[in-house]
Amino acid sequence: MLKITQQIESDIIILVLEGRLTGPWVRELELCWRSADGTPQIHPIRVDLSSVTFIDAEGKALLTRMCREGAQLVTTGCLNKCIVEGIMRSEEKKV
Amino acid sequence: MVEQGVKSFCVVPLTTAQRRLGALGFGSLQEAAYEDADLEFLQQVAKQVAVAVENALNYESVQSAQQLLTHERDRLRLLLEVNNAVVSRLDLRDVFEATTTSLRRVMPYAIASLYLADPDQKAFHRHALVFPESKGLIHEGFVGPIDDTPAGPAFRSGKPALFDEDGLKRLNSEIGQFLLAEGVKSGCCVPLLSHGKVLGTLNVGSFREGSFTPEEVDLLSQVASQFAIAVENALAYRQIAELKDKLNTEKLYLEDEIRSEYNFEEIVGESPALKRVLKHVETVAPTDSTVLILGETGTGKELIARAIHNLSGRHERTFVKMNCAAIPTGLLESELFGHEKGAFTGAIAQKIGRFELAHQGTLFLDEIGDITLELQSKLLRVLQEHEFERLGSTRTIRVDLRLVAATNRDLARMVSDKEFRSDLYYRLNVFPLVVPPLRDRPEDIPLLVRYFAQKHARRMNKRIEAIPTETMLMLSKYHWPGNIRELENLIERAVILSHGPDLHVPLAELRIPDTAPANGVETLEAAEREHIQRALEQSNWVIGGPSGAATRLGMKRTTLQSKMRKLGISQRS
Repeated sequence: MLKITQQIESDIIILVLEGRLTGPWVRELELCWRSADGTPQIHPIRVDLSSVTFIDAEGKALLTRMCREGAQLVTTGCLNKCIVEGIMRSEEKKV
Repeated sequence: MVEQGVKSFCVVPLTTAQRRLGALGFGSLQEAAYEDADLEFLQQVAKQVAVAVENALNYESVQSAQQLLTHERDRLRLLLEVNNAVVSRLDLRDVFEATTTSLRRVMPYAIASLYLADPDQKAFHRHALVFPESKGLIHEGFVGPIDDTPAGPAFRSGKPALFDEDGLKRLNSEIGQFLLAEGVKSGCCVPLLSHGKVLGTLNVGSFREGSFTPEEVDLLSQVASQFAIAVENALAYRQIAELKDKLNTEKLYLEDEIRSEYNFEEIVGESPALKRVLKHVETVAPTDSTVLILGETGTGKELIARAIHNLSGRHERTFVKMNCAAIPTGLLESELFGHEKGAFTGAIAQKIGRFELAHQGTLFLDEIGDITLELQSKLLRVLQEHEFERLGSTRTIRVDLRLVAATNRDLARMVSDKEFRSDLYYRLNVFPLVVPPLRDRPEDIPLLVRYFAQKHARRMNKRIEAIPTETMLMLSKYHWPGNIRELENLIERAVILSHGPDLHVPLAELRIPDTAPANGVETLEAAEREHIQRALEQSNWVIGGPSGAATRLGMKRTTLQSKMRKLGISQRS
């Protein structure tokens, strides 16, 4: 299960994720991200992964796409940090 | 007429209100025999005759129409009966018997059978058979290649197929020979089509040649299309029944596993401290009262909770466990109470919460001290009113369950610090049970060591026969901050490391951390412990939440708890 909460703070859209980013919830996050991204006023998007307990390969791939398209990924915890850093590194190499 | 001496003639029309039927003629041997009055009279007669003629003509067409209607009614009745059999019976044999009984009234046959294809579509299985005048050559349960049967062409083409004696001879198969020997001279096979897939065939045969007319083939096709629904239902029903049986078997196995894993005998120890706790468990278990289990991490609080459930009147029902600290705060409410589809972004389906799952059973909430104040009030309502609503629903759900809660935190202190609701605390603290830490029952350590060594040795298929006295002495002296969990993990590691019959315990890991820094330099572990303790004290031992120690230290609550366990940090220490 994954709960996605959308907040707006100082002109930044924050998607707070809680639970497991796996299976059908990856698509759910993508829909949520696309709809937030498609708002008339363009806001930067930040994804807060601090309360995510597990990310599967599809979830990681989506986070990579989101990162590539400008979303900022923030998290705490050694495992999530490692995943996010891995995504950032792979994107930096491409640049 | 002239030759026969007819001198005058009169013709009047035979006409009814609907149509002209013909004419009625009268001849006379006298000249000018018919006057106007006669003509009028004959016209009246002709009208009556016309009605009679029309009736006679209509009777034939009515008879023919009635025959057609009777035929149509029988067809429709047959289809209705088949339909009723399909919707009211789940056993395929029952549906087949009902269908063939109805079919016989409309379409006489000598033999009727149902062939079902195997999953890889290579062989037929004769699933059902009606053959009252059989000589005993043909039976149910035949399994053979599809193309050896007269139904092969119907199955392959998905269209009805007729067969005769020559066709049976051409099959050159045992089944063809048997049908000929039984005296079958003609037959019709229709495919059972469902969602574009041929599931099998419905077949009828007769002792007469050319027995099945195109109309009958058409009727049989209509029957088969209804029957295919029954086949599909029956196959799905059979699959569900198989899965249900499998689930039941798995359930029995798992229940057995749970019993063997967590029964009362699994609580190892003979110390007076443990015996006191078990005595309390026996006392409170049958009462249905809420129990609050207190104790340090790794002391076996879950085992005590399971023992309470197993000794209670609810032991036949479910024991549902939830670790409140292991679930992100935002999801905890949904986990406890469930949610409706669409209750929040990500709620892609309805979810049954733990309270509903535990209905008539026991709900064990571990780490209850970690739930937020907001959720505490909702929990209090369920405990008081036994009712709640799923997230996104207005429907109130009533539950009957027993709550067993556990924590390693000092709830009384949390109440005075306004971190835990006092009303919830008093509601939970009906019967507190304090599980002693391992250091308070050192006499149980040798027993536990032997128990875990044997358990893991059996699992790893190793032979551990002795535990050196020196090792046992060291293990008994150690203060075990992680309690039984730490002891079990160490013994598991020891079993892995042991290559001979003696248990080789990595005793170096048991080194009690120095409290004073050596040569003025603290070890990294000691520094980490001190730093975490300071953060915990600054946050009044609140681990989670925005002002909790985990946030201050920039780590997840679960990570901090894991570190605390590893470093032996607890509020008491």
